[in-house]
Amino acid sequence: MQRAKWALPAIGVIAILAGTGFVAQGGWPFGGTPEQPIAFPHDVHAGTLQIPCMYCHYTADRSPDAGIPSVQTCAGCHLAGGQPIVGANRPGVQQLAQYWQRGVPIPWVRIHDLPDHAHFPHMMHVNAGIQCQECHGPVETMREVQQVASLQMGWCINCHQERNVRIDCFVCHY
Amino acid sequence: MTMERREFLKVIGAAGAGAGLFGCSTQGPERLLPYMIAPEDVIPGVATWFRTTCRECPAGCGMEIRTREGRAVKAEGNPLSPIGHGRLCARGQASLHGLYNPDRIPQALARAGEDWEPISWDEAEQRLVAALQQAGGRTVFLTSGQSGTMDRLLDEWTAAFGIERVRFDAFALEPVRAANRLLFGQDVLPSHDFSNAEVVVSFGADFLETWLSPVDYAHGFTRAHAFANGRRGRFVWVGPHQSLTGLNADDWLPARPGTEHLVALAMARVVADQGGQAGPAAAFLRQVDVGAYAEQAGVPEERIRQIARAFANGGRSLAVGPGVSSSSRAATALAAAVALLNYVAGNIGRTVRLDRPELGSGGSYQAVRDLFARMSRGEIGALLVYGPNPLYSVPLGDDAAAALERVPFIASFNTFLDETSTRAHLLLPDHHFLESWGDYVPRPGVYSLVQPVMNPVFQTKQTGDVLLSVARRAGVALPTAAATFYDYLRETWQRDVFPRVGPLPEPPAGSAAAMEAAAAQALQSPFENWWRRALQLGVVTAEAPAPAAPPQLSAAALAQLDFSVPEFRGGEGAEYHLIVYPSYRFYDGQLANRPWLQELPDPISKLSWTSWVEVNPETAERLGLVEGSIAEVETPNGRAELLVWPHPGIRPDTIAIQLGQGHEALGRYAQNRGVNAARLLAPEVEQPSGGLVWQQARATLRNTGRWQRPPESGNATQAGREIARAMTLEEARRAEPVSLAATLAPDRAEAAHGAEPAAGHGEAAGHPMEAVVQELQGVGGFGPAIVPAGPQDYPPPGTHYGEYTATQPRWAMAIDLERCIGCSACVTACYAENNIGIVGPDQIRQGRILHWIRIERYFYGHERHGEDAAHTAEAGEYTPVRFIPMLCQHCGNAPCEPVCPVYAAYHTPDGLNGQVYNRCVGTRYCANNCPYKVRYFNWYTWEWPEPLNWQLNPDVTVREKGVMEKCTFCVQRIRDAQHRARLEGRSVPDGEIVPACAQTCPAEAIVFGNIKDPNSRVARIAASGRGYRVLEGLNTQPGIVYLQQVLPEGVEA
Repeated sequence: MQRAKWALPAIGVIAILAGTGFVAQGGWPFGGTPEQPIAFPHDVHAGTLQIPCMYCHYTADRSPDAGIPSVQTCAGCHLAGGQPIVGANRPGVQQLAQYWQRGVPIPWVRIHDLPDHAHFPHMMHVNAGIQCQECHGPVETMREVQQVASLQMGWCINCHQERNVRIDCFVCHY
Repeated sequence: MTMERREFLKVIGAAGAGAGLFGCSTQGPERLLPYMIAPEDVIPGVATWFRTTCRECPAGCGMEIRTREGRAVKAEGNPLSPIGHGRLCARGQASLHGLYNPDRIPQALARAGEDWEPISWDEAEQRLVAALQQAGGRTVFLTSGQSGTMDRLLDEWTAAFGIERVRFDAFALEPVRAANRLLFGQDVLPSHDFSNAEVVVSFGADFLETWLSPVDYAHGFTRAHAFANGRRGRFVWVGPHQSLTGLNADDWLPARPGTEHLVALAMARVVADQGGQAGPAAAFLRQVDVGAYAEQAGVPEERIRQIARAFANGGRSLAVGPGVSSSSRAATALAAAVALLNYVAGNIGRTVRLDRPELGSGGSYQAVRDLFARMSRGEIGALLVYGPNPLYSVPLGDDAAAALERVPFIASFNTFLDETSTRAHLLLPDHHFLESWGDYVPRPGVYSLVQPVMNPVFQTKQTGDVLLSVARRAGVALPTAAATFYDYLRETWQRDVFPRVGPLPEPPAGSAAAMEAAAAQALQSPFENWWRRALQLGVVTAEAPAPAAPPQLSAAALAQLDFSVPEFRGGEGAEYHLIVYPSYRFYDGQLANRPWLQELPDPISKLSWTSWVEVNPETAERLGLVEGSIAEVETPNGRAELLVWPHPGIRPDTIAIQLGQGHEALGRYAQNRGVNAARLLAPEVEQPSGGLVWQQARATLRNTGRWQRPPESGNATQAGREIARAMTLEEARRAEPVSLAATLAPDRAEAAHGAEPAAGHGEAAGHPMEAVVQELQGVGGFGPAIVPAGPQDYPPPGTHYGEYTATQPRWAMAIDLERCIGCSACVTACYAENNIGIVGPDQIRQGRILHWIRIERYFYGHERHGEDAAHTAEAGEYTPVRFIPMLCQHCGNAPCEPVCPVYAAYHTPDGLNGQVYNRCVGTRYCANNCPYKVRYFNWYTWEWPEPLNWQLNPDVTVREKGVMEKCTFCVQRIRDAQHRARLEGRSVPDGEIVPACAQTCPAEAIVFGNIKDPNSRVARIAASGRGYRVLEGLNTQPGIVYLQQVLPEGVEA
């Protein structure tokens, strides 16, 4: 009972911090960077190797969803006959081979998550010439992908206003 | 979503919408599951469409299914189908609730005592083989009427096994077949061309609801019947009770039950006297005494003569019947009289096509009754059931269930655990038709394909595959070597359909399909290329057979039929004829477990989730019954307690109960709900057709003195508000001198360009409400002064609407009340498109039903300026009913907007009245201030039991408790079209954006578009002099223009 007296305000403070976007500003909504099932280094693939974003996220210019690569896309480079050939000694590639052999999709943890009442069409933004990095940050330098933009409505609106794009609610919320 | 379903990518937005998450919080890390191998033809986040064929009733309308990430989310009509014309009825719309129904049999099951034990398909097939071998030739395969390849397989399979096949459908219309067999020597259900019938007389055939091919007939009927070019068709309903179809009639001849055939004969006599082609029937018709028959039918002779004279119009008229609601002991006599009437009027071969029959349903009631008799004698060793549910849908006597008990082995292929299947020993659930391969031949020369639109939801197996596999296991040779039903289907099409149909229309040049076809051309066989194209089209047609010479009428057969008036049997004090009639929503009852259909208010009574007895208001008053009273109905065969619903469209000596409810099994939504009217009937066979005598009993009606609030929506009267308006034919001719047909139907192009509206709408000046408005303005009522403007003049002068710029469109809608038949397909389509919650009967009783578009049904349309002239239908009168689809009017000067304290209701620059769920805090001020009552509040967070939630449209937010919602004009479709147009560097052409309601309307009553574009269809229709806006005296500046209904000739407004 004693403990409950100070626990309540503490919860309140946390709630306020969350409400002001404190947590969201820090990146992933749950704080820090989540552990992905495979430690996929974007800096190697998109940075060093210069693989274009849309090689893997192949629907970003024609669908509201950017799309995440099928396991086959990974396997296409890394595996031959189900066995690792490229980066064969790396644990991530060995994990990939296991997923591929078992026929199980890789359960990636989602980082950029909009609430369901906000409709964000990727293809409209990509085709308007917005670079992926403008929202997702310099992914090509990230070992582990983090959320850099708040993805909050004010952040959306700022950009829409700067570019003279419609900002009424029914553009995104329906 | 389970891991086995890994084919379905859990993508951004899609999965979230399904999970019903809402608000900015996230309840834990969300997982993104990729495809293992990305399918070539699927772009995650973009819909993929498949064409198939609706199998919810025997009509066989073409379908297009919208799928997202491997799940079907919306059913629409295939525009290439000559049966559905790109439209669906409420049942077709709700087929997704059959697919995702949580009460489907999930896998093969075997009876284990009182319970069911899951078994593998391998084991199930072995058990079936063993049972068939044991029963030998004493096996019967009971199937519904099938078509195409499945029908052929069933025939071949039963022949190879030496099994007898019995076909049965509850609504098989045996009397129509029998009459055509006797009179013309053709055992068929003719097809009917309503689009060329200026005068239609229906003898109890509910052709807008369940009769033969309702979507095609509704489409054709409105084209011929709705006001156009100063003309209007005429539709007469003959029978004691008006169903939805009957209420669309211009004249009602309320013949005594069982005397409909006398009216038909009397009409035939008058037509013959007018110079009709009586031919061999001349002598027979000379015996017809019009006066005496009219007397017996209780219908004024002069009205019969008058209608018959209009009917004799040289082959542009059509008589139809009987339907279930006129199938008395004289049903074949009625069917023969109707055929004779068409014959005499020269309609055979024109509006009635015996040479182009409907597939309809198969089999007969007699066959299934005989089967049950044999079962009770222990003559049947094994029974296989595929489709029908006779134990529920027809009366078979008190010992029917016991008869099934005497069959040592029953296997059912049905998808639901219905009344018949619960008595089975082995359940081998078929795929839903949206998971199946197949074909359907609704009319000769129309080949409609059925193809799977997604992977099976449950561990079911297509019955065609089971049959082929069982034949292999049993070592029984079939005429085919096909290993799967798909192979068998292709084999059949390659042999039979491919040569008959010939080359198919090419895909549009430059399209993806065209490029694919060009690439494949060299690699594949001609049939392979043709087959792929056929799957894209969904339906292919062969050359229509040349019209055959009108068949010879057999006068001898006519003379042998018994045209006497049948009796209606009942006990002491049974004063009322009992009419049982088919349900528009549940068909024969097999669709009763679709929650959308249960929730959908019945088009006439507006009741949902229950049964009721329809009683004439006079009768009700005499017995002290009001709406919601509980009455007891008793016939010699049974007794039931039902809610009373007073219906002006029924004779005072008749009561009516709808079929389709009162299930003892089938599933959570159907069970123990209402009354099965078939239980009140005796198992009596009509001769010579072999059909069931549906209309046979007289009943007692007793007031129990109890009352219950009915789960009902809507009002019977307009209370003088002129919501659904109508004008006389004369007024309409002055108001709309130029046809709007071209604007409604692009394929019937007729120049309506440059039509000057004869009388503008916006009759604000002199409007009865004007004084009220001015008074309101004095005390701070709505908006600025009344401006006589239409929706195209948005924004109203002197007003200011946010970011609005003149370059934006104004989305608007035109609804032609002359075309609306009240069928509520639009309401169901809206449920499906917009993730609308299913609230159930208790919440409906509290007025909490959610339907963004509803059909208001007003009975007493003859009121003016507040005077309710309660108009009970007298004999031979027109029942004044008006239907009006009511949805958010997207007002230019919306009363809901200024009262929202959080700016959740606001006006968009393109003229939509937006509702922003994430702003809404649920004060409900907006709903209170809406004069149209089209805003709906979520009192709870509604649930969709798995897998019903798979259907949720990922493009629309799932609302939760505490949020107001309403029609958005399908803004997700507007945005989608705008996005596509932007990416392709073009503007959005008129007609590209079609809201779900307008898409499905079988009557083409709803048109949507940008009303600021004077060439858009909506602008041209809205310019009609029949146009008006509901409650426009309130100066709400609605964005929906209604076109007034036109009253039948001679009826005063």
